[in-house]
Amino acid sequence: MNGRLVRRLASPALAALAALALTGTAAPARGQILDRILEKAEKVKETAEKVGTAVVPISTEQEIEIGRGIAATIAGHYGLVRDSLLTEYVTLVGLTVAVIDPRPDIAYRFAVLDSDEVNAFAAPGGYVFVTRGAIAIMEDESMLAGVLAHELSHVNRRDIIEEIQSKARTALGIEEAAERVDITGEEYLQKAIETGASALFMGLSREDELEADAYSVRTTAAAGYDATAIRRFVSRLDRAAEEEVSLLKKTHPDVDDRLAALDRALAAIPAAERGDVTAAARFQDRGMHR
Amino acid sequence: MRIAIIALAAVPLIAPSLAAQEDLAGILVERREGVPAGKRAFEETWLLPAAGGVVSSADETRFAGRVSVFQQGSKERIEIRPVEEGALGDPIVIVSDDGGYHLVTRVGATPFATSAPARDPFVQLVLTGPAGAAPPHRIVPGPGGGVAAVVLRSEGRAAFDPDEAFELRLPQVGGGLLRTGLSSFSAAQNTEVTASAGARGVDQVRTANGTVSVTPDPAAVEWMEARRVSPVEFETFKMEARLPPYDALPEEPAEEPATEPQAAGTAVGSSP
Repeated sequence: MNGRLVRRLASPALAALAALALTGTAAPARGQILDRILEKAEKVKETAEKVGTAVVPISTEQEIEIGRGIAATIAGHYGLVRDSLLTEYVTLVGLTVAVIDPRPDIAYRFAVLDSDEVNAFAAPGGYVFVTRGAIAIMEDESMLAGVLAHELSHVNRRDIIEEIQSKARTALGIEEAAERVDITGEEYLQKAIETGASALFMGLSREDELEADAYSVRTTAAAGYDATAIRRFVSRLDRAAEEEVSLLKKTHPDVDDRLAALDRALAAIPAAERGDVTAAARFQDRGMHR
Repeated sequence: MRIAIIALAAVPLIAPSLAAQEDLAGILVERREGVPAGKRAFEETWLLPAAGGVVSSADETRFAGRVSVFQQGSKERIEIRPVEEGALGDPIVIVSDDGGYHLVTRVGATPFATSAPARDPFVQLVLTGPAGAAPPHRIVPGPGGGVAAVVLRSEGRAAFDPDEAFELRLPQVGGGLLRTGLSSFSAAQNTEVTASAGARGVDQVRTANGTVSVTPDPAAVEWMEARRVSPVEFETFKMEARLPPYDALPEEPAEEPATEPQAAGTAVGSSP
């Protein structure tokens, strides 16, 4: 069951009812009213949970199919750098962090987008992209690892898939019983890809992005890379040309908020376990060689 | 120290003999006695001489395989994945119970001592242990000196299911994990699941900067999917940067700077 989805559906209703309860009425009736409100709140929660369980299930195979469509859209929008050596290097860095917490049901793929824009994307099913522009503002390999680890969080937590699921009944117009729906059938696949691609280009939730940053800190540290890498990358965003970070800034929390959250994530890792490899020389040689 | 990693050539099997079997029996008894109490797991990265045998320096060893060990009480599961033709091969799974060590396959278990892998020198080296505590980096000496192997050990998560770990049969049915030769127990990445249909995209997408027209590029996705990195390349990459487990390797000794001929009367080591 999709716990986060249920919480998203249930929380506003519960909060509204709780607020109503707190504003209460005359003292003699307050207890009964409170009981009724709590009873209704429980029913709202039950309904939300039923809606949650009715979410259209998306299997790994379907996720990959949708992910390929979104990846084709990303690659079509920016263009792909078809440089085998550079792609191999990015893949090796990506796999180094991916194997720390791998999903056993997917293969991770990495590629570089031919754009000066500073950005990175993750399509469902393991398709991870970083732009030339993002690589250009990095100073070492650990920063590349940090950015890729951030994207891997979106893949592993199925953030885009959850967005598609949460919008399936409205955006995709699904009215059938959830268990009978094949999201990759002719009727729904294009809409699922469109919904997922839009979610990716419009931005995921603040919660998802901050968790991805924290995941990056934990994962790069466990891989042996300098755990401050993603923080150092984020701190560079304010120094990049505005037109190159415009989309990224619109789709992510404020830089200051991200840095504060990253400091908290770093503080949670003992200094001895933060990793210290930056591999700056190799990055200059292999990541920035063209 | 710079250790290049290449595929390990097939290690020739030694001829079975009574003496060898006795040696192996001794190794297994010693190992069994060395398994510590309690529940634990560890992983070892093995570097062996490329041509087998013994070499004079650790520099001459190459990535040869990975070993995962799971222990609880007197029971132990050892998964050995040797490098074969540049990739990690099928795991050799050895499980011990009260009756001794068994080679575990999909059709059941057979006494390990009489199985073919028991005659593999790499497997024998692994079983020689130690089964208990060991440093993160150790050099296994050859019988007459030299280096027979370099072993890097990292502690693993001991939160495994003992029923599954010490099962004397590998699952007969399964998906990609078994197809790729991995046991279903140890964590592994399944690269077998791929979509059957071609990648499709959409020609219009909403972005935070407005709606944009797109020409999807399914060929780019296929190009991505065609990129391959072998496990041996991956290990080389990590070792170059001393990323775990290779951070356990000793530091490279600083190279001696070339000494310029000293002018007469100049004190060695003085600075201008």
